[in-house]
Amino acid sequence: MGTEVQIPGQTGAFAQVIAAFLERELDPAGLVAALPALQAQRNLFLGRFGAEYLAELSGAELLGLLPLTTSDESLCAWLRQRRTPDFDTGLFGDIGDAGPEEFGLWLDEASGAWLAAGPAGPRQLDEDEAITITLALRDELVAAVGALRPLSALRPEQLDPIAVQRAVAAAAPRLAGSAWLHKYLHLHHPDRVTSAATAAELDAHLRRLGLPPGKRGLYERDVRIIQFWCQLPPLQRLPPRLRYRPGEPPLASRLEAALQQAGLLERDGRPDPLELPVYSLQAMAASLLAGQWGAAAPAAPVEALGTVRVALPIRRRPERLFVARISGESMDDGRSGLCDGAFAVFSLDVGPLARSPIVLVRGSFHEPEEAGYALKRYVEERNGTGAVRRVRLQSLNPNRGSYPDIVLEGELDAIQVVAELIHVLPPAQGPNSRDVSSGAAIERIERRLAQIAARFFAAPAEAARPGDGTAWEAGLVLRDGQLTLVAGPLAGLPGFARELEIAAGPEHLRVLAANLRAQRYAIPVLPSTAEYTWSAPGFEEELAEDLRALRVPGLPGQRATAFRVGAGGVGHLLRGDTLSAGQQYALLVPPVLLNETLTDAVPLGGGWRLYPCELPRPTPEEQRRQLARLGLTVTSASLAVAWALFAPRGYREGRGGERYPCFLPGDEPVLCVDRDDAAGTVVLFVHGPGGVQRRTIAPEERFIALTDLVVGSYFLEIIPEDGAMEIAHLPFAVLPEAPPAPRYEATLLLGQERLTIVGSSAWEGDLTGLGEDLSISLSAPPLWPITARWRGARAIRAGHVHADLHGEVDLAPIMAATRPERQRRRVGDLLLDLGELGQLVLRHRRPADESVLGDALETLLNQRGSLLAQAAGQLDPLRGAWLDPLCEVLGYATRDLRPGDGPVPPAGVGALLLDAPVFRNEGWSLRPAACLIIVPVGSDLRAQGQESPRSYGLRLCQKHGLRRAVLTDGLRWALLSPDLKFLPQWQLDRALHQRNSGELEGFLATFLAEAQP
Amino acid sequence: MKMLVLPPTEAERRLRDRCVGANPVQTIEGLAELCRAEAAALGKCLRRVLADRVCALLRPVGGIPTERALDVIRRLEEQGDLLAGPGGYVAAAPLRAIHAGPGHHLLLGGIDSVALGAALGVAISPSVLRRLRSEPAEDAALAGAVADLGGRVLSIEAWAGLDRTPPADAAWLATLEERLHDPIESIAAAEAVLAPAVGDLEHYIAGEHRWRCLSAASGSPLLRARQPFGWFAYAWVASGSTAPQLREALRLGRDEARRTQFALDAAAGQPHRLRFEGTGTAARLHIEAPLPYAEYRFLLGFAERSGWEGLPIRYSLPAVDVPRVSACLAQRLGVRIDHLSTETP
Repeated sequence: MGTEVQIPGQTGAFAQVIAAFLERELDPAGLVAALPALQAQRNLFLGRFGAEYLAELSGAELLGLLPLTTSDESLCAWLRQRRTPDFDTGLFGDIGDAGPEEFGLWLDEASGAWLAAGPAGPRQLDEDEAITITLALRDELVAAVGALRPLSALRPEQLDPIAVQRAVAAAAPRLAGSAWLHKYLHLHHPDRVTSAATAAELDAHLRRLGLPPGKRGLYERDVRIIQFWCQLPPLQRLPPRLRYRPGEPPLASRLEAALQQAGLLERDGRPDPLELPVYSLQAMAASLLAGQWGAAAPAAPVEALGTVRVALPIRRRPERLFVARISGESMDDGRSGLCDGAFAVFSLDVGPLARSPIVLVRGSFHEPEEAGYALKRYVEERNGTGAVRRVRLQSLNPNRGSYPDIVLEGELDAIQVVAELIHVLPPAQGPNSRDVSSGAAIERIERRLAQIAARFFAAPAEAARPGDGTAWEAGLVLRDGQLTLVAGPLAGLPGFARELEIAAGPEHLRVLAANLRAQRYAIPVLPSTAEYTWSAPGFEEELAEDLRALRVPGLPGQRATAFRVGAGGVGHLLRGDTLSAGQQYALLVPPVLLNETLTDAVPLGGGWRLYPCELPRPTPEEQRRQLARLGLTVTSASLAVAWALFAPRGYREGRGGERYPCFLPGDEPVLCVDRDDAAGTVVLFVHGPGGVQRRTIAPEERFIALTDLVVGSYFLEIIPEDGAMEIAHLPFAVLPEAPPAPRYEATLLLGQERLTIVGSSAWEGDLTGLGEDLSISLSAPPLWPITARWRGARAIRAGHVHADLHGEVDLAPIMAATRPERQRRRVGDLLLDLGELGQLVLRHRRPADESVLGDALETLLNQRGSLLAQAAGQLDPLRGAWLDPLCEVLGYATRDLRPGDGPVPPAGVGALLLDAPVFRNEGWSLRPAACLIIVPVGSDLRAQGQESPRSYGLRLCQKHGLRRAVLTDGLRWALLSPDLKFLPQWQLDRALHQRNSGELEGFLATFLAEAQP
Repeated sequence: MKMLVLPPTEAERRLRDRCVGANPVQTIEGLAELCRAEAAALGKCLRRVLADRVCALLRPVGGIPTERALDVIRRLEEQGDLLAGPGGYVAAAPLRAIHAGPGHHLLLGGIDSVALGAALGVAISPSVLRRLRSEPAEDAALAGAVADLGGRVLSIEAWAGLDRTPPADAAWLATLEERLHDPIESIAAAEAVLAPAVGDLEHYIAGEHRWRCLSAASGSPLLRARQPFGWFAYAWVASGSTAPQLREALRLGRDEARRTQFALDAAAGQPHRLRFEGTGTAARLHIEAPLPYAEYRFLLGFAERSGWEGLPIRYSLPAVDVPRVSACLAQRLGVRIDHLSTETP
């Protein structure tokens, strides 16, 4: 059982995974044990460069101590590169890429002059100016340390990230954004400033915690990171300065892996992509025999083509990076990724060439006047004195015959090492980079399409089951304006699991497991930042492992989540935060953005809102700004592809819940391709029953009709050459025949009996156990309205329901509304009114059963016997406890006489009217059936005379037009009728105790309500 | 499979062809056609989703506002081509051929006209929202073809519900009185029956065709009160000397209340007036109040609603059907019919 972590907001899911990770991976004892050594190094640094010490120094002393010079003993040298046993700067964060210009002052090694960073580049200073600047820098360093000092007294949760950022920015306006100051402050206040060097690193750290990237500065990010870690129970025993260490190297990579495994981070996710320029130069990876440069080496001027967002696995100074495309195959060894057409990131900062790096070299390789670029491994060969004797520009391609090395000897000035290869971009990441035309690329795309299509269209029968090598899946989509969890089919889910429970934060809901075993099932859920987890109530441990695969990460709590609305109106979750113009989205906006005014937003509960958002092309600036406030960006380039003009014949759903259109042979569905001119080549690939077909779509070609379609499943992709644009995919199918239209019919299944509802019809039987012992189900056209009414001793509007999508009608509300009447009464009608389709009356007729009625009366007598002994003969005390329930068993409803509604009763005599259901005019109504005269205990029921109850009863019957009166003191019962000269009389308690005497049979035969089935 | 690039003009031509010759961007007929077809494809869906899908299909050829699509969808629901369910859901309705006269059928349902015409072997003539089939013979064959599509041929009376609902007459008012005194009904004080009311209770003033506050006037036993979400609840109150809101009352549905209004007006000697204006083969009908549901559907079997905002409600219908329509409405609702000829001599 993992550690319970209670963290509100969207980081909850991350916190759970991280807490589990810490329990597995963290070695608190080791960390603490290493602390003294770390502190010793920190003390050494502070002794040499601490703020208090610097504050005492003169300008001249500071000039020799702070900036980078030829000495390795300056502050900057210690911060950036000192790695000695007494002080290893790497233990406090790596700022190896920090340039001197970022610090603002340095000594030029070659000229010996002081240089300062300026808007137009470095400028030379005299010593006085250098001292002035170094004093200012010192002041900022000291002030920044002072600004953070009061924060040490506060607990992490008391810190205001923005206030901290402002404090540092105010103290050190020039250095606040620099890695130099950040590391300097980390060495002073490791409990308040992390060891990361750049905003990108900090954002990567934030991303590992499920937190949004920073927008204010380094220190605001630091505080949020520290606050997160300080909440985690497993870290409470560690000093604050160590608590955030698990989020930094070297543990960071393992943490990322854990988060990826939990589905919280994308596997190819990288911290904060850099926006890098793309140059037109092509790095030629080509050779000619005999080591000559290829004639195709480009000589055109280098131009910037735009930018691309690149996530680099290693840290480099972004301003020195660029992207270029590789041409040729001499560097393709099958592993390097340096294949023809690939894009790669280069750094203008070339490291020591003795490492034999892969570099971009420039030289006059073909024509003396023209320069070209080549990509090769740069291998120096030295002579005995260490001087470079020869340079070998080495090809990686093992086919040496086609791709020999280039050897330069004594002509080294002819080439210039321009840049070093840093990283090869994966195919999908290249800018303007997708290869959509080469044979290899097409083959790759076709192979991929086939795989995607097979997976997308996989039938439920091929669904995954635990242990067969694939996993169950679940995901979030937006359907019909609701956030919906789609899961299943869960083939192999054990039969003993009757229900599955889904939990997300405080919300728990249950679904029948049977719904998910053989089909994909959609479950509406509330938005939550917490992970959606599954369990099987009663079998939590047995199925925990299998159900873990169904976990779905919670939604971001700090930004809106975008769902792209596809064919069929279903919204598909976007993992990222980038939207494309020309597309239709629905945005789930978290409660934290409550202040953002969103017209037409629909509340979803818990402060979440659903905001429909269509992005026109071009997207207006105001809309972009609004989306930015919601944490979303809009790509400038766009490609929108959609089905146009015609409705399909139907829709089906792929395995992920994505709805796709279905057509018929002979249909010619039309695609509309809208794109920017910058999209370059756009190729349409269609994977179908006949294999893959492709077509390059020219810019002016907007409507594409797909003709001569045969039955089968198709997966269509539109791939723009511009790598900055998303690939669009549109699955569809061609069916052998049209999906069935809704049928104009309604059928009721009543037990084993099948009733078609046409016109007015009726069925008669005992409805006591309807919906329980007697099953009932009704099917009708989807959404067809059904009104149900009960009419018996009471009229009840039993419900107005609609058939569902499949035409099934949920009759549970109707059954619930009528159950009491069906169980209490022996007669009544349940009318199912389907309007123009027809009406069906279910006539409830339950035969009188002496045994059942006797039991009911006996139970009543046993319960109320003591009351009866005391209150017999008195109307008021007997009414509710005895007379009403007894009359109900007999089929009557009692009713009070209104004032003046009959003769004045004799002293001690009371009266009621008994109503009984009467079937009239095709329906039931309650009609007066008899008078009930309550006489005093001991009085003679048969007594005659003006003031006798008998006489009163007759007059009351006459007044109300009735022919029956019942005389009783509660236990003695007699029937009075003008037609009867003899007054039959029964002793109810005796009749019930002596069932075989026949007295009860006579009592029931006399007093049961007239309405007999 | 082939991929064929279509010029915009060809794309628009194909669009019109699929919408029985009407451009859905420009005409209600075409838009209704697209709404039916998309609804049939989607199955049950939110009304808004259907409208969005239709708009998305038309966006490449100019597009339409979502509100326009929503408006047409609502009209199709009212007519019976689509079914409306709770929560804003809609679905394509099954096919019904409503027999409104010899060889004359109103075709209702979510099936698109191209498919419907092909199945029935006749051209479907859209008339704004309605689709008609007028073939003097072969009614028997029609029943078979409709059944093959899952539908049924119905008489106009059965479809409208005239055979299941009583006319708005004195007998109807007597029924209400009878129900009011039937102990089987849930009877309570009017103010309880109409709770939770928002604002004052109102009387229906028979003969004046309007509602007034209880405090301002005495009126008929028909009361109403606005409910928190804006709709009205109706009740029929017992006669008596106490304040109407304290008298026993029977809750009525909206359709029962409409029927009662017509009955009360007729009983007061001031029935509603329906005005037919004839212009040759066509006629226009003006009605000052919403009709009860059954009579409204009967009217739809012959007439097309042509005005959608405010009163009077306007319909257009063939002049040949005026006698049957006016006879039915007069008999069932007690309305007075005014015939005006607008033809110039």
